[in-house]
Amino acid sequence: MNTSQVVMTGSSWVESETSSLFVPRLNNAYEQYLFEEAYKASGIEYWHIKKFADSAGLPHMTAMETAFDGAVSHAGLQRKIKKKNGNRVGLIYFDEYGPISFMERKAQIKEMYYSDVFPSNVLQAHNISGYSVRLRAERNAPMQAIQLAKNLIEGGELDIVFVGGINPCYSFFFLSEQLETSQWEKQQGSSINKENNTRHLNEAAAFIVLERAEHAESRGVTNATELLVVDSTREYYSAKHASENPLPRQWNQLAQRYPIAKAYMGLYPSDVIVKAESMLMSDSLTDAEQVNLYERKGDANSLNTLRVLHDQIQKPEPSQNVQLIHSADRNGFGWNLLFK
Amino acid sequence: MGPTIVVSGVGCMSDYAESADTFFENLKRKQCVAFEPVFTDSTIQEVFGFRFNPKYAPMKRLQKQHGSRYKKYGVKDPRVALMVKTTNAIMKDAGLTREDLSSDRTQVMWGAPGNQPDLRSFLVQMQSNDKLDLMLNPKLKDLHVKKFRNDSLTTQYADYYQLQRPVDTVFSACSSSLSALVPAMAQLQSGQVDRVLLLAWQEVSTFDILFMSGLNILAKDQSLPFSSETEGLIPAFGIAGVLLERCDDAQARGNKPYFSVKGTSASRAFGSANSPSMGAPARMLSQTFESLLEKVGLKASDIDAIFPHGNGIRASDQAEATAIAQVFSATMPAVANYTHQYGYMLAASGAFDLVAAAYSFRQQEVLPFHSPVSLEETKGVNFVLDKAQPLELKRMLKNSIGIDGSLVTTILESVEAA
Repeated sequence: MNTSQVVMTGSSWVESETSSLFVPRLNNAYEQYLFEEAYKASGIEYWHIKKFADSAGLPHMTAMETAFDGAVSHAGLQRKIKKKNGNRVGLIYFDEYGPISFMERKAQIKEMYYSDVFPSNVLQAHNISGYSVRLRAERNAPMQAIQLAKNLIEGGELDIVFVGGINPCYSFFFLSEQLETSQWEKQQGSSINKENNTRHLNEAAAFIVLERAEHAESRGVTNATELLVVDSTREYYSAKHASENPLPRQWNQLAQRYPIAKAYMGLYPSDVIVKAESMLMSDSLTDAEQVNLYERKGDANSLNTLRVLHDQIQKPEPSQNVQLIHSADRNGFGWNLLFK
Repeated sequence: MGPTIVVSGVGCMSDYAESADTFFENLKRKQCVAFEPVFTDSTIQEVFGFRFNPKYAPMKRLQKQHGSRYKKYGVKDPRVALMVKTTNAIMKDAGLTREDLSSDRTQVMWGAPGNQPDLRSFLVQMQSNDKLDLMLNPKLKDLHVKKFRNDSLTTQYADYYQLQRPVDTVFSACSSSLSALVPAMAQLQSGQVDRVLLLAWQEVSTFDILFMSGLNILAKDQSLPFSSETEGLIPAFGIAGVLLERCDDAQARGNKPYFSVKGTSASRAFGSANSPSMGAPARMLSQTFESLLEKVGLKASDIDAIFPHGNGIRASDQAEATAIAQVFSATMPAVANYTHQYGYMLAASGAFDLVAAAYSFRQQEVLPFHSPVSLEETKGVNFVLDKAQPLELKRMLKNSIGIDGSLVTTILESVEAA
């Protein structure tokens, strides 16, 4: 392993174990309107959602704290970060919707504050006092956050960076998001997939821990996932214009440097994007096993990328092969992350 | 030691000044912005439970004036239109083109909270509404995800300039501008990109007003940082930015950089478990200043001027003044804070001070700031109040404090001294 390489040395994933069927509230005409419009546009009638409050009784902030503590423990950092070196440890907390505590009935100032930034007491409990920011981004937020973290580690600003966030499922958001995606797909010439009338959504909180390989080695870490490349590109996800997509060239360049054994795609729940990704991957990455996450049981939105990384490092014997995560978005930017 | 990173272009826009040049002129004249009441309807003020009608400077006129200017190019949001206008000014000032901005060697960073909906549109009807509500209040549909997603704004901006890299939007409350500076410097020094456009902004949203009111930090009449008569802050929507690049690149183009960024330091102060930190203790601030000086190999006596955070919250200002006095009392660098004049720019406050610093380095003077009352915290601090203080300005310290406890400090250096 290249000792200057940035590696992942810990992770944590928190989600509810049971899901329930979403039913729009009778006293909320706008929620019903969105539900009906999303159904008309997408054909999706059944929304199964794993919500924290429904089963585990965990409010969002508690879930986030639990996930953060879990990542600290898994990385072997429990009580290892001291006040004197706490400023070498930082956090990039990504967030899709901004401050939304008012979505809950009992919005308190403390909750507003916590959702606006990151709970200081969580960092204080672990003596973490280094550079910490909230990153506002969408599906590709983990990729952006990982790249930012790599920059800070490679630039010598920090030794360890926690990267993570939370995915809350509010009806107004997931219904209008589906409506937007379906309208966009229609513009791309795609019709409703009538075979798929069900969506599974996950509320989840997740964190990963990044540091330089030599730093991890110096504290005795043996299980680490190398993050080889993380980079973005402008992409085209119209099925009609797949030939204009710069991805094949980019993937070929990556494949020349690294033997990619497995490629994850389908992190964005759009038939158009998934079909284009699958077609391009089949043409360019002929030696790689293709894993379509679109068919997964639950969509955790921006946390999907962290789930792949979490599954990798939590395995008793993680794969030593080079793997690719490709994450796209309707906003025209896509990301590639290579790890092993 | 990495390459010298400089600021080669600046720009800003707010109710105080529509351009950097006007900003400098207004500062020289000690002008103050005209604030306006947040609530135009006393019923809504009562619904939200406000004892008094707070003031702010929301850039409504400028949004109306320039908001539709770029619509035909896909920029539909007036906030993005103002960002585009400010960006164009920064690029022009740096002697760079639109093609330079769209290059894959350029990174755009926003120091900002990102998109936020107007709570006034739907908060009352959020839990329960009927068809009549939807008919009478069409804005209820602001509960749509596009009003919350930040890429509703970044996509318009990125598409307008055909950016090859996505915009990074980082936020650490009121220290966001300098928080964006930290990764910008890391990327430039590692050679990952050739230039970074740092653009900071924060609209004063209803959420922000409710939040600040809940914390009781909104001033009723006036905000006077470092004064015993200060009673809180008066927020303003402003956009300010700088173009950062390697000194050699700027000079090769014939650009005369304003200043270089010697180094940055980020740390965190903690409040109690149940409340926000609301600033930082003086001891923590002193340590931050001292550790940054040590990191860049300087002494306190090497600092000629300081732009403190100075938000108008008394405890925060007192701590900052005490820390400045503790660390810099031997040489008494010139200290200036213009918040009272242009309003508290929240996440953009640090970037506005970087623009003000550009003037100071170029003119080799620190402009006086307006204060209608005497300042309490003058012991050991050389506030520049009466007239411009000419000096051989080699190095300036800029400090920023976020309500999340984040402390980010940077030392700026004249290009000749770098």
